[in-house]
Amino acid sequence: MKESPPRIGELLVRLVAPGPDRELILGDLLEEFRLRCAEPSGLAAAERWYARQAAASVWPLIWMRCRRGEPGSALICVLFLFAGPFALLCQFWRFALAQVPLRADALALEYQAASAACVLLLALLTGWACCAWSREVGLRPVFLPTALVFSIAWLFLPELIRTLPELGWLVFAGVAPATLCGLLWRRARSLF
Amino acid sequence: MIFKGAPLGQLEHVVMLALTRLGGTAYGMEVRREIREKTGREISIGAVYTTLDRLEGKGLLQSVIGQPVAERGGRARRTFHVTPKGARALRDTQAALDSLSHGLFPEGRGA
Repeated sequence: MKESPPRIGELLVRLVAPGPDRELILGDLLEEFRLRCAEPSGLAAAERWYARQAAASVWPLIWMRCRRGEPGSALICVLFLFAGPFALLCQFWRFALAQVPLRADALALEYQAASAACVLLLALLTGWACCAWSREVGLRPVFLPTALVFSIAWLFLPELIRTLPELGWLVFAGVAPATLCGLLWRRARSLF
Repeated sequence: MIFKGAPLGQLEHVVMLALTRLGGTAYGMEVRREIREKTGREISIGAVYTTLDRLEGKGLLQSVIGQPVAERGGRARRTFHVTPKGARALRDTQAALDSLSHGLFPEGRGA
């Protein structure tokens, strides 16, 4: 029986690769995958390699589509791949924010301390999520900058957030994709 | 040494060198494998194809799509080969880099 590559990785490449090259790239990946399956490290290592290759190929292949004059389809790929996960992330933060006592009217020290602790924790979690995602797509981890931006945003904007809770949500929802887009842009510039 | 045309970018240079090492004709995964073996650098297949595509657009490479291969799930290979213009661009880029680094690393030092 011949081993099959990870389905998600294959779908990812199928989605982002430009039409004429799609099968050629998938063929290259399958050939190398089967060679790696025969190595002592085995199927699990080959699957990890395939998934990493697929994830790291996303941005270059989208860029290739743009260069070939397919910006429309490239945009759909970007929306599907980035906006989708971030929309889910935003929903998660919305729920998480509802648990933060930041908007409580109480000025007691314990509420302030709890708010600060929650903000820090959320910032760290967001930073970690961005870091994991950026590693998957082959970028440098952005844990510290993201965590820092979130912490500063939340610590310096409590009044605004109390007045307009949506603003806080927007800050939370906006910084991660903005950071990622900035890095992708920088990566694209350094690649080409 | 002065560049007559646009110089090759870093990844373009690496890909052109790998392709030349492979006899001037190879497909994407072979190029990737060669780069990894010789430099230890892990490049995604997407980045390799994007670079090859760009080099072909500049007229430095040409590609041919072959016959379907069973080991690839019945998919064909796209084989690239270096054009005379590509070979010239590679030689110029390499000569410029050699000229720039000449005398910086005398033999026997830092080894």
